[in-house]
Amino acid sequence: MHSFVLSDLFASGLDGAPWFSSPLILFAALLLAGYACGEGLRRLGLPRLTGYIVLGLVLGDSGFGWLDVASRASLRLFVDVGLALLLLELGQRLDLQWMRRERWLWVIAVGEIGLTWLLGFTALTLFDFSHAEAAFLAAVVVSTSPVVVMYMTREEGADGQVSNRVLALSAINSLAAFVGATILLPLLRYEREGGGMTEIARMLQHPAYLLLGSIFLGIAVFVLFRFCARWFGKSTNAQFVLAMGMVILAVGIAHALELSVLCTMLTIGLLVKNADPSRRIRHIEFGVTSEVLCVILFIVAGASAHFTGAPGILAAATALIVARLVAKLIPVYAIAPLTPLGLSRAGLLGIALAPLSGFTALVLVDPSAEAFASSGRLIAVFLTAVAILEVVGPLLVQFAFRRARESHALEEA
Amino acid sequence: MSSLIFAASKPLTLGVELELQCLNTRDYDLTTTAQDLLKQLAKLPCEGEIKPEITQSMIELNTGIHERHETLLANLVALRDVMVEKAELLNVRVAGGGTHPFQMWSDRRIFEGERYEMLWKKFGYLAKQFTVFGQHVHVGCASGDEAVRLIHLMSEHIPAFVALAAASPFYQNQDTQFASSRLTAINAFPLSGTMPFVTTWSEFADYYGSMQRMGIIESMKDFYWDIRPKPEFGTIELRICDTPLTVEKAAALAAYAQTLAHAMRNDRSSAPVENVYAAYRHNRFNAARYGLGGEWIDVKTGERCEIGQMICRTIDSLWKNAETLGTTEPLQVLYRAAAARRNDADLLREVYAQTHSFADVAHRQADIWATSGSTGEARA
Repeated sequence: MHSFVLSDLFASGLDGAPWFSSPLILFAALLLAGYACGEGLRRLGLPRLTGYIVLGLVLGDSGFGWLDVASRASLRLFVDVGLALLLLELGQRLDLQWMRRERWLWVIAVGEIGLTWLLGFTALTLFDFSHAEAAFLAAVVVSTSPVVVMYMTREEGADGQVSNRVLALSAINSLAAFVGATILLPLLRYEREGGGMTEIARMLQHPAYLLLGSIFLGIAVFVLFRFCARWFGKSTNAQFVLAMGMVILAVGIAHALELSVLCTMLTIGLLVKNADPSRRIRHIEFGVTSEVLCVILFIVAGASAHFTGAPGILAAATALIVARLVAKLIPVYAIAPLTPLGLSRAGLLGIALAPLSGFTALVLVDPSAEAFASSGRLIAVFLTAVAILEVVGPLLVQFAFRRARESHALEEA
Repeated sequence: MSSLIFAASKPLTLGVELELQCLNTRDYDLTTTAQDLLKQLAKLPCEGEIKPEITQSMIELNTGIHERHETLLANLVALRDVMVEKAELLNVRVAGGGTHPFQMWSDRRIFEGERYEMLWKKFGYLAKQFTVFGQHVHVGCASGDEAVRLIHLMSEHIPAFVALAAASPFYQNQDTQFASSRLTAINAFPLSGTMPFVTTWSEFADYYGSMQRMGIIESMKDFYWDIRPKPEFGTIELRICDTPLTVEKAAALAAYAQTLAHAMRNDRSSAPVENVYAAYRHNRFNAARYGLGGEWIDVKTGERCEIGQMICRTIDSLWKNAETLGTTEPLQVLYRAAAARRNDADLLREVYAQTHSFADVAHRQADIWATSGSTGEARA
C-alpha cells in the first residue's frame, strides 16, 4: 500500500500532484490561500499585496519550490489578463494634457531614469559584471513596477499629487526600461555569442519588432474598441463586457505574435484616456474581477523571485537596491521645490518609486529571456533584488501614500 | 439684552461666495486635492479669497465687495480663470453645479481643521453628505434693523432664487427628479430653515443670546438658514442658491438680489408680515422639485402661478431699479430663463439624455465652468 506523505506530493513541483495538474484547481487553491494571507496582513495594517507576494515566495523558487516554472506557466493566461487589466487602468490614468503642462514631471522622469541606470550600472560593474551585463540589468531596474503601484493606489484609494505622479513616473520609466532592455538584450547576446555587425543588426530587429509591433497592436485594438463602443452604448455592464473582451483579445494577439503585453496595454489605456474626445469608452475599473486575478498575479510574481543568500549575490543585490533608491530620490528632491509637491512630499514620491517586481523580468525581457537567463550570476542578483523589493516595495508605497495623507484606507483605519 | 453688534456697511454693496467641486480628470469623480489647490491659490492676482470647505473635495471662492454688477462679474471671471489655471497644474478640474452627479458621500474626507472636525463629530454622516455646492450672496445693509426687515421681505423671493439657480438634478448616481436636490442635504440640519420672526435687531440679538446661553449655538455659523444676517460683515446672506454652472449666472443672481433689495429699501411702506412664512415651505419645495415650472402661492392674494411667471412679473416691476443700479442686462438674462422655464438643471438633464453617462455630465460641468462666455447663459 502506498503511504502518502506531503513531501512526496510536492517532490517534483505541483505537476507531480494530480489534483494540481489542472490549472483551474491550482488557480482556485492559490486564490483562496492567497486571499487568506492577504486578508491576514490587511488586518495587521499591512498591504494585502504583501500577503500574496509572501505566499508566492514561500511556495516558489525562494521557498519550497512547489510553484515551479511549469506550474507558473500553466497560470500564465490568468496572470497576463490580470496584468493587462492593471496596465489598462494605469494607462487610463495618464492624462497627456496634464503631463504636457507639468513639465517638471518629465525633468524628474529623465533624471531618475538616467541616474538609476548610471548608478545601477556603476554598482554592478563594481561587482565584476561585464559592461553589457551591467548595462542590461541597470536598464531593467529603471522600471518602477507599474502593477504594484497601480494595485497599491487602488487598494489604498489613494488620490492626490504623490499618487498621480508615482503612476505617471512608473509608466514612463517602465516604457523607458522596456525600450532600454530590449535594445541592450541583443548586445548582451552578442557579448556571449559573438558575431559581426550584421549579427547585431539582425538582433536589433527583434526589439524594434517588439516595440513597434506592440504599439501598433495597441492602436489597432483601441480603434476596434472605440468602434464597438459606439454599438455597445455607455451602460456600465456593456462597457465592462466590451473592455474585458478587448483586454483578452489584446493579450491573445500579443501572445500569438510574441509582443509585449505591457506596451500593448499601456498604449490602449493611453489612447482611451487621450484619444477619445467624445468619450465613447467610459473610464473602466475592473474591481473584484481584477482583484481575483491580482491574487494569482502577485503569488506568481513572488514565486518567480528567487532569494539567494550567498554573500556575493546578496551584496551585489543590496548595492543595486541602494543605488536604485538613491537614484530615484535625488532628482525628485532636486526638482520638487519647483513643483506643487514641495520638499515635504518629494521624499515620499521618491520612496513610492521603489517597487520592483518579478514581472519586470517577465514583461520586459520575455520572450527573449534566454540570453538573460543564461547568466546565472546576473539573474541571481536580479531575482534576489526582486525578492527583497517585492516584499518591501508595497510597504514603502503604503507608507508614502499614508504619510502624504492621500490614502482613504488611513481614514477607515 | 445681548450685545450682538451689527457692523453697518454701505447699503446694497455685493459680495459672492461660491462653493465649487474639485474633480479628477480620470473619471470626473470628486477628488481630495482641495488642500493642494489652496496652496497654489495662496497669492491671488485679484481681489478676493479662496477658502477650504467642510470636505476635501470642495473649495470656496469669495469675491471682494462690489457696488456694481460689472465689477463683481469681472472679479468672478478673474478668480475663475486663476483657479482653472492652477487646478490644471494639479491635474484637477473645477466645476459649478449644486451637486456632483455620482460621488458617494462615504468616500468624502473631512478637511483638516478644528471646526470641520467638530462638525464631523457633531453631525456624523450629515457632515459628509454636506458635500453639496451653494452660492451665497451678501447684500450690504445700513443697520441691523434694516437687515432684519430685508431678510423677511426677501423670504418671499426665496423660491425664485431656488428655481433660477437650480443645478443639482443628479445625486449619488440617480436622477432625483428635483431641479435642486442640494436643498435636501441642507434640510437635514437641525438649525436649517428660516430666521424666527423678529422685527428689530435688538429682538434678534436677544434670541441669539438665548440660543448661545442654552449652548445650542456657538456663533452665527451654526444657523443654516436660507437667509441669515452676517453682523460682522454688515450684510444679509442669501444661502439658498445652488452654485450655478457659470460665473455669469452667479453674478446675475447677485444682481437680482441687489435690485430686489434696492426696491425694498425704496418702498418704505411694505413692512414684513409673519404670514409670508405660511406658504414658505410649500413654495420652496415646489421650486426645488419642479424648478421654474413649480407652483408658487402668493400668500397675500392666494393666487397660484408658476414660479417662472412670478419671476417675470417681479422683474417687470424692477426695471427702473435695475436702470439705477446698472443691472438691466443680468436681469434680462434671468427674465429670459424664467420665461423659457429653463435653468441649469434642465441643461444637465439634456447632457445626460445625450450621453447616458454621469461622468460625462460632470465633465461637461467642468467644461462649462472653465469656458463659459459673457452672455450669462451656460453653453450647452
